[in-house]
Amino acid sequence: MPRSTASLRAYVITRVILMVPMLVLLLTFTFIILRVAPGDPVSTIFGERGNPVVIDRIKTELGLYDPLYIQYFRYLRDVFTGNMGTSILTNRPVIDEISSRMPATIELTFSSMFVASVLGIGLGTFAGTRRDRLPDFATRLYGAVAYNIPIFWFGLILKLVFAVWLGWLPVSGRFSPRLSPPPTVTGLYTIDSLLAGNLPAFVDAVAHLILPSLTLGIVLSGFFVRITRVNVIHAMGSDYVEAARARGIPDRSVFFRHGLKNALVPVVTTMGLTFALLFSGAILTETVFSFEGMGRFVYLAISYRDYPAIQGAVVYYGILMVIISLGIDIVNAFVDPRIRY
Amino acid sequence: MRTGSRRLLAIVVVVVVILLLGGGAAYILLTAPAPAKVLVIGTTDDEISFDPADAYDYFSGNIIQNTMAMLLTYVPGTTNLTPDLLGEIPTLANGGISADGLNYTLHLRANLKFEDGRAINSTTLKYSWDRVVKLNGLPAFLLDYISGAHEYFGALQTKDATVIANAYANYTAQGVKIVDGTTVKVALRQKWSPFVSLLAFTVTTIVNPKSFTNDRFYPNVVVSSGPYRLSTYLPHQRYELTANPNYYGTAPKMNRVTIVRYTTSVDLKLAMSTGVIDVAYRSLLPPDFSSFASNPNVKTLQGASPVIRYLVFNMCSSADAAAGKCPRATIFSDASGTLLRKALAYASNRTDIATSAYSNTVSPLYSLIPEGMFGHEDVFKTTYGASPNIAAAQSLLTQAGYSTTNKLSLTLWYTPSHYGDPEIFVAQALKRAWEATNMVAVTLNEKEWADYKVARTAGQFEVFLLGWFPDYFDSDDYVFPFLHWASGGSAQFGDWYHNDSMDTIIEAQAAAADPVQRAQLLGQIQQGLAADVPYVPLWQTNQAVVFKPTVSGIVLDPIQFFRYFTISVS
Repeated sequence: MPRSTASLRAYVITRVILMVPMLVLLLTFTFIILRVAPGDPVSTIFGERGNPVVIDRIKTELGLYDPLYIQYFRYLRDVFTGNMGTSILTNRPVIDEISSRMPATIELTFSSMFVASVLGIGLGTFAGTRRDRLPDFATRLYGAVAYNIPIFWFGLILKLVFAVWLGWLPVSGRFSPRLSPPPTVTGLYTIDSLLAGNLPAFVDAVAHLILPSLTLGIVLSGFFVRITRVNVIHAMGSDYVEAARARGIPDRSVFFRHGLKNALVPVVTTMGLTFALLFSGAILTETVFSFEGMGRFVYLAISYRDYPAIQGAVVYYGILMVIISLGIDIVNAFVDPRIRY
Repeated sequence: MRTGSRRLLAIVVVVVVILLLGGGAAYILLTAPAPAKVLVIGTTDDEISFDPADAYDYFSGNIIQNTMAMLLTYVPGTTNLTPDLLGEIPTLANGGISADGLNYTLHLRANLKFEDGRAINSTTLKYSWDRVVKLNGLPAFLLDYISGAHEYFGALQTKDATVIANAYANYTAQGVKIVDGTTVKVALRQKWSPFVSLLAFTVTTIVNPKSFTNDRFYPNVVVSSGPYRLSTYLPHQRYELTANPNYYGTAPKMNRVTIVRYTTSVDLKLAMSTGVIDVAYRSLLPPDFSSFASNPNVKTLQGASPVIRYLVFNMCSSADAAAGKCPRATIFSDASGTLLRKALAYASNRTDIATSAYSNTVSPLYSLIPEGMFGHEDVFKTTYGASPNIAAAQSLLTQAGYSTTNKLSLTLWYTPSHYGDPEIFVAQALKRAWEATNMVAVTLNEKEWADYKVARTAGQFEVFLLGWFPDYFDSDDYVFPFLHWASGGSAQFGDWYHNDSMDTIIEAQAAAADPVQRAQLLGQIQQGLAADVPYVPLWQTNQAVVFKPTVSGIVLDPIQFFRYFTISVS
């Protein structure tokens, strides 16, 4: 077996094994923080008062009277046996609550990352190759403004212009109320409408995605522009690029094969982590555009101290982060052999 | 082609695809075909559970009431009961209520069916009620007066399986008895007049045993017995109702209704103003509703609601605190505390609250029993006046030992996370009103709802704002939880009010079957409320609905049952 393949395998196995203590630590912190935070998960779901008998019954069922260490180990056991519990607020399995909200988050994540990537990498590269010239200043200004713009304000402005004044795009939601949604297969309206062969439904679903993904994508692109520009400048000034130029390789080839390729390694890492972060839900964008996704789910769960729901969301999010981090590490290990040695 | 050029081309293609998709979407939306015959209602409300044994929130209840027929219902626009699944309202006169007031005989209509064709009869009624008691969900305590239920709920506390099983067997044997195919007899453990009102509440509706087993809740399931069936349901987003062909009553005006949920009031407003929805109901921001009211392109309607808002005083006294009945003594307890509570009642300015916080979309309230509810009397208006009486407030504050140089210093607590953005303006209006005496210094402070609830029941607040949506639509539910010590309510509200003679009158009104006698007793209770001032009623929320001119048939019930089946759009 070649030495490089063996080292990569050992690296991946090590990272996979490290996932377990990472997850346990995450779950432990979540468990402790929830118990320390003020607020009673059962009485909070009642209105101004609650029936003490019912509150007591629910607390008993949830095992909230058990010693904390027993609750903790039961929680870990449930997580590792795939049981995320039942929401205190809705009495629905947490896994159902998450899966009902995931499609909105997935659609928003992919579409906004698409916008952010195209704008961020495109403009960052554009600016990086024109350092200290007018296009560079303009792009840096764009990056600074986009990165710092309040997302809820920006979303409202886009809605006001494109949905209310111009009437080109829908105000909010994921699908027009007067159309019948396609039969649920994946929960993703874009995919389900295509599977159903319903083109108007597909166009409607895409139209509902445009403003939220532009809002989130443009804000994220501000950050991507900045890191892409910096890395392009750094790569294009490196020794190996100079060496390639000295060998008479055409500029375009030097840029794409040596400069940009290396410049994008840290950018891809950052984008991957942002991608994972978005899967936990973009609470502000979801709220502004009435997307019932993971962000709003976690927000509501925290508001009501819904322990099983919060813990379930953290498990989901933790696993996702760990897997995506692992994926990024593996890609980086492939690209840069120094990482795995 | 070189790699770089190919990438550049790929980027161009992607951008073109985006533009084409966006343009296509805009084109199709702009040239969309005429909308289907569907009534679209927008709301910011969210569902929690459609299982009548566990439903305890407004929106879930409203969906249930549009899809499940109740035993009794209300004449639209009134608080008058009328039969629904029952053939008649049980009364003393028709023998539905026994002379001792302890037994109710309920006669169902004949040939009732669920949407799946299964029969609705006395067996399903008993099954449904027994299931509510057995599962002991959030609204189950409302059936506590049925014979054996109270003991069963107590047995659950023992956590002893045998004790629980025996208590449940006793309950099922004595609580609800099947007389014949359409008749049941319900035995109560004591006289309780509000029981009839309970027959119009979701907890007593009949569920389909095939779909609702008695070992768990079914939050996502609706098997219709009412005007509509839930045909498509996307949790927390969209609810599509279509007419139920097996409904015994008049068919709904529209065959199809779609309810769309928006996460913010701003989105609801924009959806209404851009014509995406036909009706916007619950909840627009007050200024937005006022703006719609002057918009000639839409219609608006306001009506009373059963939601009340009030001020709570923590009356925990030194003696009660020492006896362990409440956490800590406050300035609002004992004799001087009474003076302070009355002084603040005199100084409170309801008009300012209605204007500054709610753009005049709420109505001042002068009793815990809201306007339109049986027995309501404006006791705070007659006792303390309709507008602030600063001189009277100053006089009482002086008696309590305060002056312009020795001001009463207090913190007023509120929680926008539960009651919405206007809450800060309410608190500011009260601060203005009380500080107008020049003898009170008010600090405003807020907490998030979960924390707020813990803090007030732990006695950390001295004066704070709360609200109330009734469990069942009867005046009893506006006095018993607030003022009767045994309700446990005063401890849960965080006021620890206790008055033995008040308890006696409340019990008497609950047992009174004669409306005249009951109204008299409710009057006495409200007079006692104004004298003791554990709470200051501030305002009654109004329902507000905005709709297109093509929409008709909207009725705003005082009980806030929003009937989709009476609405049509032309």
